[in-house]
Amino acid sequence: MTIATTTAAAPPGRAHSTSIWNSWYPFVVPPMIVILIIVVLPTIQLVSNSLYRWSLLSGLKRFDGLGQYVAVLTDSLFTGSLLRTLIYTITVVTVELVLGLAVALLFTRDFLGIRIVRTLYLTPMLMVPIMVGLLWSLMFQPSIGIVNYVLSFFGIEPVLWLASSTLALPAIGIAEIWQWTPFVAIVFVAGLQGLPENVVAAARLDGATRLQRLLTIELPMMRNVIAIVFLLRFIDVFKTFALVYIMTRGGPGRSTMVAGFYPWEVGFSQLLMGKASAAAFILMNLISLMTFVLLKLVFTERDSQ
Amino acid sequence: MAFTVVVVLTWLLPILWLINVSLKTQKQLFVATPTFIFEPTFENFSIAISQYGILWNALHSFIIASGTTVMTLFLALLFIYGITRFRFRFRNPLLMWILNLRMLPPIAIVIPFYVVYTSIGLIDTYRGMIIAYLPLTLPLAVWLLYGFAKELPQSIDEAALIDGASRWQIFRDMTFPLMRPALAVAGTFTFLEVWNEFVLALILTGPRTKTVPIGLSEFITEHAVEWGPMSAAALMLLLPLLVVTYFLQRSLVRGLTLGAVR
Repeated sequence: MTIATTTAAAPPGRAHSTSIWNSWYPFVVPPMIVILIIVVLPTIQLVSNSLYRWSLLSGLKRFDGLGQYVAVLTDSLFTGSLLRTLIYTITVVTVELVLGLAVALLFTRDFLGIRIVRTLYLTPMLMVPIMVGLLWSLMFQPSIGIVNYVLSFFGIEPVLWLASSTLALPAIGIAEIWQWTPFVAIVFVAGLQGLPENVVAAARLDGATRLQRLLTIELPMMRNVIAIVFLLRFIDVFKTFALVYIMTRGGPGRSTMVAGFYPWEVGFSQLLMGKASAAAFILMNLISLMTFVLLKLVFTERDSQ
Repeated sequence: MAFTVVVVLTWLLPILWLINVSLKTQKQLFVATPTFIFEPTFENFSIAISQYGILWNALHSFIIASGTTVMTLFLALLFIYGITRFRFRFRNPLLMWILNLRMLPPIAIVIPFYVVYTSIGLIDTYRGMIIAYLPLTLPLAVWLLYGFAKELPQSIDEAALIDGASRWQIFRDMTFPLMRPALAVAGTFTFLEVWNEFVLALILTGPRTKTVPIGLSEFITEHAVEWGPMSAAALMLLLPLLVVTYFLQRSLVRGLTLGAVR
């Protein structure tokens, strides 16, 4: 190793062991400076932009105090989007967890070629999210889409999925579930296989049925795995942007206007930069707060283990 | 076993349908009942390449994603070494803060970047894109590497310190080589994060740096949607990822849960 030869170049004697170059500063400070520049500065910029009534269309930029925050919070499009997003997120994540668990249970059985089957199952997750949005736009397309074609076998009349204000958001939800259930499943497989085998085997010897074992032993023991999956999926779905952008742009009407899309709508469609900044700052803090609360809720008992 | 295979195949029906569409001409596609036996054509693949320049988009994405990955891994590794090998105040709050940054909605970051970039001319540049992606990728890489770095035995460091090595030498000659497998995992996920990202790319790229997701979104035009070429492009971009995943399966779970599950 080169350690011995290069030591000569270091400051002489034992002095360097106490110098600043041997402390945490040179390791932690440079990345922190970068983070300050790329995260903290933009955030300050965001807040300062949010204090102006600022339209890119007219070029008007006038100090407005907290006026833009009032404008966002009293905008029914925003408050409505929050409620809609919350319901959407909880529904989608719940379905993903249940389906993911079911698939994971299938995958824990070993057979020849299981690795290939699992990899194939992960395909949706590997697709660029935009691609998933496009694929499902195609599937839900009223005239050439396959969804209506399949439904016709069950005697269901053609449905205008993405053009319907009641069905558009569920359709987006289906795309989201289709792409991310494999993720939930593969993590649960890892969780199930990570359980101590003697406990599971003991329960089996005691005559516990498959369902009993799952509900009383495996799921409680996987609590942390379930929690982390829930947290990651919840935050990701809450931030939904790409699917909405590609499939409906918030329409028809405001039926698919979700919280993650609202700042874009205001900033880059209505070109109101001040209001968009205020909305983005509110959203950012809301997500931070939710992450914090979820982490607290979910990991309160973790430290004691 | 048979049941498992049936479930997986059902789940993959949309992709089989995508293959079906990619092999059809516009005329074959717009018929009342979908056909499954037809004469396949590969013209959609050549249209996606020649008219939509999907391979150029892939090149832009590749340059931006590689640049971001290198920068990210370098900074994250430094940070991780400092944070796992020294005890100091604010260590844990700092880590939690970084985890929280991971949850940051890109839309909040992109507005200030847009305002600044338009005034200093960084819109539609590789430099600008690489910098703009760091707020998303650094927290991810830090958390991935943290899990691995915690497990490296401290005693090696201490032994080297006693032998008179400086922290930098230990970092360069011991920690870095030992962390190589972890860097491979963190690097892959950083790369994929950038490859898939849409919001920042939508607002900060232009004709010169247009990435894959933006290229794909342009198959929807004012007049029509080019379903055939779009499907062809989607499939071409999917294949390399599928190969990578097959080999990465073990570290995949760990990567996707920020190191929490393995």
